[in-house]
Amino acid sequence: MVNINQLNFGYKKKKTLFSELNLELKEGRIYGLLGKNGSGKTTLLKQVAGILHPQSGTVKLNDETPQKRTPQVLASYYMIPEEFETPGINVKTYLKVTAPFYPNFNETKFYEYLKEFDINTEQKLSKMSYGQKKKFLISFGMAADTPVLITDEPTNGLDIPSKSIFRKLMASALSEDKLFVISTHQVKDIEGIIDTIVVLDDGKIIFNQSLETVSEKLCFKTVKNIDDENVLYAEKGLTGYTAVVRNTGEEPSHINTELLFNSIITKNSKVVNEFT
Amino acid sequence: MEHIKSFSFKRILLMMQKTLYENAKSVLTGLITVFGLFSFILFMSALKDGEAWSKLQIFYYIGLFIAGFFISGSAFSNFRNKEKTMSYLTLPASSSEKFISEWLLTSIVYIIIYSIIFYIFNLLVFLIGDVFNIQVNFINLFSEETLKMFLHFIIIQSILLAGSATFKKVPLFFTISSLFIAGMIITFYLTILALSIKGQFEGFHFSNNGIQGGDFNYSLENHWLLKVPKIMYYYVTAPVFWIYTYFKLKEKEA
Repeated sequence: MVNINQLNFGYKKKKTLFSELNLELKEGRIYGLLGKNGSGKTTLLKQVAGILHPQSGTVKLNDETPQKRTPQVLASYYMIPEEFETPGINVKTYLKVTAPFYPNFNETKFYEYLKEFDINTEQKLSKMSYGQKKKFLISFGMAADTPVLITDEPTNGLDIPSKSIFRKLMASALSEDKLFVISTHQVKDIEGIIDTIVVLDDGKIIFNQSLETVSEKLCFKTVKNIDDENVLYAEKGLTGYTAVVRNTGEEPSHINTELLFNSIITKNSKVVNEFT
Repeated sequence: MEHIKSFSFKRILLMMQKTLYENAKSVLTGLITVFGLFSFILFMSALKDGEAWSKLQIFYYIGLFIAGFFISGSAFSNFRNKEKTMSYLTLPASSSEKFISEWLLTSIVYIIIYSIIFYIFNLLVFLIGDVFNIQVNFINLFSEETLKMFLHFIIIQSILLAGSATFKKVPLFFTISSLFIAGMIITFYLTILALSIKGQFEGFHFSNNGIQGGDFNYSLENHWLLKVPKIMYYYVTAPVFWIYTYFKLKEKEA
């Protein structure tokens, strides 16, 4: 669905952000695009959405070049940006003037999502708080029912109950023919909904694995001793060490996304080496 | 996913509808300001001799250009900040549809709406004038002069539209400033060119018949050099700026 091949890009000609970047994202999955602040997540999403042009290399979305911005390719995805501005019209008017651009837009679902998020449909969008606007956009984006949904820091500005509603709605909206990308640096917020982790660091994809593969190869547990050669990464806690350990006995464990992320972005990460 | 046509008139109408709804407040404010100003001038004139009441056609032209320039200067208002640019660029309509909808709104649709409002205004002024025994003429929307004014408006408006797609901040100001600088350079260039034809640079002055002075007296009235700017203005300016605007829109990044 999304295919990035040998992408080179930089905001300044001499300073490259992406160098020969390759990435393939398939339908039926929710990808968590993780990375530190400034790692290039938003820029990568903009490349996928065709808002930025590659210096060289190709970006394909459903076999089309998003940079051409044809109605076909634009209607095949919806992007919820981190920063946005809403017009001074109410929810119903926005729906009336924007929804017709998306051929599969589901009005019933839209109102259901708004109800879940407790958004007043009579309110003017410009008068809403940042969090309310974000919930409105998430609802609209999911109701647009596009094959690809791109979200950039979607949980920023959401209160704790809304974050949990967001996770629930995202998980329920996914189907075999859809692809969701959630870009965030707040790893904990998307725990439990993503099924593939893509980590971007310093303009490079340093990790791209499904959680299934991760749990096959790794174990997350508290250990007293970190001298064991199977301990790949550990963080000191109150009762010992929270560690990422090589899974030798096919023992199932809950994936600690934050710990996994920290273990990946560490210099000379043993965890990354484990997958190469 | 079903196949979506790359060009659709329905989407152009949808784009226009969206732009109108989202900018209704500022368009209304602009029109109210213009007609408020007209009413004030007419009121002041009524206190004196009421002469202005018989010159509504001039008011019509002035309003057409002033309000039209402000509306054209605020076209592509989504390009004023990154966030709006992003949502505008990702809206499922092609660059040509987005360009045509903005162009239609700020030229043809604007002329029609402005003319209707002015006609209603004219009618009200007529009724008031009748009460106070002041002579009021009705504007002629289909005279040769009016149609020529529409043409001038559309040509100049194409430059402002291009400016709106180019400048992030205060596009109207920057477009007019750029036009002024470009005009100065062209005038300077043409003057040098005209003078170099005769090889005379000293003691010249301009008159209706061309450039004169000293022993220099050369009529440019029928010279082909003077026909070029005219042809450029009527047949080249608008298409060039439309094409420029379209490509600016197509290559826009956020």
